[in-house]
Amino acid sequence: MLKVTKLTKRFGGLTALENVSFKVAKNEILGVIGPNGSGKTTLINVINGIHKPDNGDIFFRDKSIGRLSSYQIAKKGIGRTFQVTRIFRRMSVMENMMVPALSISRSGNQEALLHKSLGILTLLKIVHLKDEYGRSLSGGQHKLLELGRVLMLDPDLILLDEPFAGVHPELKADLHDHIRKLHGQGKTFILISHDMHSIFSLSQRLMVLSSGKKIAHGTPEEIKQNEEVIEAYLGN
Amino acid sequence: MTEYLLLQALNGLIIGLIYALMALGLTLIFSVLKIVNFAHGELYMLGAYFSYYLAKLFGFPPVLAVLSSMIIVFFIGVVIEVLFLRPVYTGAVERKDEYAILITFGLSIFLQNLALFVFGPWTRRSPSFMSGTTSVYSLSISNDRLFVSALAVVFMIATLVIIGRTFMGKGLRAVSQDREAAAIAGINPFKMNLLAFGAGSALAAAGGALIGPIFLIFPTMGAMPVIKSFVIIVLGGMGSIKGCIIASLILGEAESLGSVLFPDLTRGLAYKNAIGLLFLVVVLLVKPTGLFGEKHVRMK
Repeated sequence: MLKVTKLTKRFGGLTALENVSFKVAKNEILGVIGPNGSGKTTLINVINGIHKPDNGDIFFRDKSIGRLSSYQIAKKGIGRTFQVTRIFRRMSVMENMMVPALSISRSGNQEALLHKSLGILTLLKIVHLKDEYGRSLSGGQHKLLELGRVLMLDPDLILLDEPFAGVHPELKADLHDHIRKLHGQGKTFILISHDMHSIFSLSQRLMVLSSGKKIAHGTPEEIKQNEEVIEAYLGN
Repeated sequence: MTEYLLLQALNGLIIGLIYALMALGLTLIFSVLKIVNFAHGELYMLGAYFSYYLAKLFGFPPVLAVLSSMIIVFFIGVVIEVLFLRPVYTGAVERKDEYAILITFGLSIFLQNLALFVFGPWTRRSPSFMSGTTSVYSLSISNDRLFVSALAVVFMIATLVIIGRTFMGKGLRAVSQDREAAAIAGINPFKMNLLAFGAGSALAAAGGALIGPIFLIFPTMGAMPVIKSFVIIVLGGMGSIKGCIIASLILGEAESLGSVLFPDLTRGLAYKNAIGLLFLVVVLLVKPTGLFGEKHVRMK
């Protein structure tokens, strides 16, 4: 579904990603781990068009998306959440959910879109907050709302950047359930997390980045045994 | 004296509504594009001239002339956005804030001089919307002023409904709050820029076109209203639509009543513009973000 080839991204003298290549199959959950500053978030930012690659390319369903803008990539079926949530704080939960409506429906079938957003909010167990302003929600509820907004676009590939960071354990379990449920419905995920328990239990494959380079990939069991990975995390 | 004050309060309300239209346009542009449009007064002036000529030369009914001038200036705004402001958002410009200030300031001077060249330095007055006066008790007010106020309210309500209730409005508000997050949600931020600048320009044009039958039309007529619009958007809180409308009405009343309550009545009118600025200074001393503003509104 997604193919990344020799991706390089530099910020001035800093090389954030260097020759990173990998593939994600349809209905797969790929976990991306690595120490702080290893390039995980940059990778997601490049995939969804916030940053343009300096070298290499990205193919989604065999078509190059490396030079497209974020909104064009979103319309092609790639959604994402942020490490620090980016909900629209001065809009209600329902209004947040309806923001993608403009790109979904030109004719403006408001009834169907309202129904869809209520369904998603119910699934995420925040439908009771639909009239609350974004700024009045808790951090965990922000994460759920952001995921809900992503689901409004009905993406095939969802990029989750640290979805479990700062989240209450109960809500974390809910998020696990949501990801598993969506995966069961055929969604594909790239998941970034420092929460080793979560990422090892959810991912089918893992890729490890260190200083912008891919140093390992494989099943969670293979990664656990990989000496280069252990060294990258624990040092010498 | 009471009747005179009431009449002045009514005049203040009418002027406040016109200010609100213009400042609403400026706020819309600032919220979405994060630039201060120094050429806003000239879009107001163009609105007045187009409305005047459409009515005088082509015989358009005054209301149709106003609506048509808004449409024309909408497209002028779209052209300005594409030609001069787009580089700010495509990464072609390094110092975005400075570029935006200089380009809109330059446009302002260019449009003023173009108007002087094309329309001449003479003052003009648009045909009346509705002749005669209306008397309520002992107050007498021109029908033109009442009609202009009603139209200004209609335009404002239409703008608020579009921004608050439509998908397009949600897109505009999303881009104004977080451009990147809106793009991730599938909103084309370039299209929203275009719409915001076009609609903001059309609102300025509406202000100019409506004022045409009441005040005079001349090439530099936008210079003072644009300064007042800046005062209003700072007073109301940068980017706040509610603040913008309330601040417009406050400024209209402060100027209108302040000039007649000034201790020396012979000089009251001369100090009219200073009263609004004084009011702004006092508000900013107490609340630096303005009446309804939030901190940290910066271009990314």
